[in-house]
Amino acid sequence: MAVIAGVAELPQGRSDLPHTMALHEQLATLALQDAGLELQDVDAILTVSPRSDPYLIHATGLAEYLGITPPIAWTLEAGGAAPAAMVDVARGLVDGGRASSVLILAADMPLGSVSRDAYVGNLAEVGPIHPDIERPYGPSVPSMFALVARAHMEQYGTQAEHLAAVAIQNRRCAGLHPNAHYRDAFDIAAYHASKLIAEPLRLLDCAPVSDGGGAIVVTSADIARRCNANAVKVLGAGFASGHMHLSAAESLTGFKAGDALDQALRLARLSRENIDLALVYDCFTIAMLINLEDLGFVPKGQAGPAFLDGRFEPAGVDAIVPVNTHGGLLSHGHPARAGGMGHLVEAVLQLRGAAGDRQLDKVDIAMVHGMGGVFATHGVLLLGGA
Amino acid sequence: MLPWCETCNNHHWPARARCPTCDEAAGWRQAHGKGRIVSYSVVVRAVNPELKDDAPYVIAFVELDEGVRLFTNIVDARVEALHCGMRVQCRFEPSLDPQLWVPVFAPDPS
Repeated sequence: MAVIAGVAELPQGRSDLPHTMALHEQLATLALQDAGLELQDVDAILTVSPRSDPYLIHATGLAEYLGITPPIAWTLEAGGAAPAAMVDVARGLVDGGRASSVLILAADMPLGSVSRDAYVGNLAEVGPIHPDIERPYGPSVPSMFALVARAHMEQYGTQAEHLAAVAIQNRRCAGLHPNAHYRDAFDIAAYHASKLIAEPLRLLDCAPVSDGGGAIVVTSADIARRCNANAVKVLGAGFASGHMHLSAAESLTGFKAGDALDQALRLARLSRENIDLALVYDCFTIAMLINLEDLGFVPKGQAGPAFLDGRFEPAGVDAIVPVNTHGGLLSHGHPARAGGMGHLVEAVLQLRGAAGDRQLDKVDIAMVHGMGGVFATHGVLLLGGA
Repeated sequence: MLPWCETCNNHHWPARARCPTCDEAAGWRQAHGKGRIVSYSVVVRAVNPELKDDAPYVIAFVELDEGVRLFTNIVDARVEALHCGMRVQCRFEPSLDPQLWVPVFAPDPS
């Protein structure tokens, strides 16, 4: 049975490494150390293609850079759902006998390698915006999420205070994380004072652009035991997609995250009530609220008030489930194509009891949700202690 | 013009290879060009360098009376007057690519 045996991340934010391959190399070394394995043990590498590094097959380029020749070196494209997808592929490779130790890497250096403006512009050019029927109107990615936010406000009465509650809580959590990109707490007044990017979304509704990412090692339970790795089980995985471009979405206020979670729960023979920690994809504050609703933790339209009431706090007295103890994409950081890797690393650390000041009292089951595009494609993992 | 399926008497958008409802081949039919704003956003910070001088401008989803939802710009409107449900009317304007005229929407005077 395949397990997650090693994880690694470095401080998110502006990296002073010379290029993205160097970042990958450092993360690979740390994750393999954590798993008790050597680079030569790796017989499969899975990566996402970083925006800051133009390789045709990035994983094969990385193998070349690391000086190894694993039979499998594949790059996978699923936006922010890629970390979940890569873990599920790795699990299949290990359980199917195709590979013994899989190195999974998602890292990007949008700040170090290209200018922030160039990155944001590039995202609108080749990001989740339709080239023919959306791009001619000049949308930015934040403005697409703004359309969803306005529609949710109109339909359910969601307010700016609800969005602010998400941003404020994430930042408070990030304050306890040594690797977080932004750690200074702010209040509701600072939220309202932050500049408008695309109405109704403000700067503090948007995840930052960060250098960073992480690495994961998936191997068999036998190998993990032999290497004395502190392994975590993959109990279930689920995936769903509804559209690629927002223009083709059935609804502007509800999407498919719940289908992915339902699948994962069925495989794991668990129910939502068993989840002790939810890592939810939060590239924008509105994404956190809608994903929480779609995942079924609250009825549609109620995530905002529940969030404002502290019901998703890490130490909430009346908590539904603690979310994003690491600060999420919003404050831990959003490393471009590697978005969501921090969620996965945090789940493993919390399950190991190794999350430092952020450690929750009881974490037996953690859920990791990833999302690609504007609510387009979803991946969910359910992880449990070994 | 909007994609139109003769078999199930429905418009759909975006254009697809086959009708998303009944999977038959779809044609095109003239639309009336009126609808209402479903959602809108005032883009304060433009991404495309060519649009920097145009910001702030308004992007929106408009639901046409034919029942499809179009991504578009709202023009000739005071930002403070915009609201979801507002009636709008289509006209064509050149886009960033001057060869390409695209449907935009302005407040419906009627």
